[in-house]
Amino acid sequence: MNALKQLGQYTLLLYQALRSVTEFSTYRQNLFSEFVKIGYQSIPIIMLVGIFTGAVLTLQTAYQLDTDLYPAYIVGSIVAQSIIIELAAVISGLVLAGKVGARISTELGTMRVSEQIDALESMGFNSVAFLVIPRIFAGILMFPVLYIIASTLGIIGGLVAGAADGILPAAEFMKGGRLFFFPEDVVFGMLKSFVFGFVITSISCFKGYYAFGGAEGVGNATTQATVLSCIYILLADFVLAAILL
Amino acid sequence: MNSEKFSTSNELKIGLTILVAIAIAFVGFRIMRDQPLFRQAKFLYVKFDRVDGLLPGNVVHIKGFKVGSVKELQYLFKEDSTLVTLSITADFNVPKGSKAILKEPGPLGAVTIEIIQSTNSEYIEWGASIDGEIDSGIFGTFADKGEELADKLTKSLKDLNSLLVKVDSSLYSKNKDPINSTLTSFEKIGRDARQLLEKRKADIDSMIVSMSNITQNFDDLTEENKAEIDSMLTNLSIASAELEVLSKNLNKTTTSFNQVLDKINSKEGSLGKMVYDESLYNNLDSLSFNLNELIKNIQKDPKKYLKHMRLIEVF
Repeated sequence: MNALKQLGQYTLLLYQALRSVTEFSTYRQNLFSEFVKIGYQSIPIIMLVGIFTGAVLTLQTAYQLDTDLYPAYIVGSIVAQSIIIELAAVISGLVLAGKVGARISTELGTMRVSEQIDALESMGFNSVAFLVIPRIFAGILMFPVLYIIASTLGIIGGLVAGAADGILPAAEFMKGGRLFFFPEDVVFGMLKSFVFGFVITSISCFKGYYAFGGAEGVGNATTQATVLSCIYILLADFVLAAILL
Repeated sequence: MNSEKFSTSNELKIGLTILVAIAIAFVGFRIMRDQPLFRQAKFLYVKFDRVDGLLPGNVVHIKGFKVGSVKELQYLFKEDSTLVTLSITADFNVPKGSKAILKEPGPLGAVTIEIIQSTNSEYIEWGASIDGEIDSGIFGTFADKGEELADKLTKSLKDLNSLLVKVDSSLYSKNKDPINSTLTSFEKIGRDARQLLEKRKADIDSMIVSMSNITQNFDDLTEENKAEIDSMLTNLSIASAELEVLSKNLNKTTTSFNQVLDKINSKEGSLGKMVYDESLYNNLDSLSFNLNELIKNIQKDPKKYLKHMRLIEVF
């Protein structure tokens, strides 16, 4: 029952946001600062995630395929394609669910419990347009950018790890990577990150916007936002794979 | 004003981020698709009847040197062939009339495309089509040869078959049938032999029994006279030893005799000369003739010779 109620609330919030999309002047200022907070400031962690994902994937794929049955460059194919299709989007999504989602829900929750949102409303501001729209926009626009960085560095990380560990030379890795490189896969990965951006920001905004009960309420809202974001990322990942592949 | 500055800085950061992402995406795409970073890629189009597992990213060679890769494959339903787009990265021009050969791989290799340059001094423009051929590789060659071989083998077998049929018909035709008649004769002989054996079975049986008896008797005899036989054998043994000595001596004698004969044969020594030198014989012959004449003369006219000889003096 509660879940249905929440689903209704969530849909209403999104509807309200969609209706206020035209009020660009209201959220323009916030939009850019959210772009920076969600996109620009996430670049270091995304680079780290990308590099290590690629490196670990290379080492472990080489370990798993340690037979003479396959040519060595197959490792490059597997690493590059796995990163492009799945890992760059999903792992950075999960990391950003913690980093971005927690920040959004805490911010909005604190504003809610300290009645700043009510103050905005009483001043005649459209609080949804002012707070929710820029965050969701920043999420869906910046996540694909972060995905590109993550996947590129993932492949570079895999290549460097493979060459440094003596598993396969960089040229072989690239040969394998090229063998199964399809532009559709990149589009698919970007679509995933786009969806994850929406899932994380919208759920976090919803949980923060409707937070109640003081500091504890904000904590609960943040926890729920993070956990639900992770769950819905994995769910969305599955649904997208099932529909599009 | 403070907020205005903040905003500008934000926009810069965002712009930078997006620009970097686009640059990375562009470069990454180019690298992953094996296209040159800053030059426009050059394309060639080739049509093949079949592509045998060619994939985008497979290598394009000229004389084994990598000059580019396969960019795209497109199956043309109308022409029932596959249009292959080759992305050429190396800095060279393709002469007119050059061919692209699809090379089938070895057991583990990938399909590659080899461009065979013609000697034409004019170059084709990028984006044009060149002719495609399929080289079926070593397995294909084997397959072709195998087919040829199979054909030849079939022909040989047919020939052999017809030969056998001829042999068969010549051997087993009813009119002239040497093998058959031979076999019939053999059969008849066999039958006769059997009849004979059957007829004389009793005789043969008794013969065998007699033979057995004889052997038995002989056996008994041997048993009874064992000691005598033993001594006989001992004597025989001694005799044979003596015989051996004798034979040795005889051998020696023969050798000596042989030597003597050899010497005689080689006209050595007096005997040899006597045997082979005709002068002695001639002398003897003439002597005997002269002696004869003398005796004749003496008989004719004894006085002439005996005139001065006194009988008393002679005896």
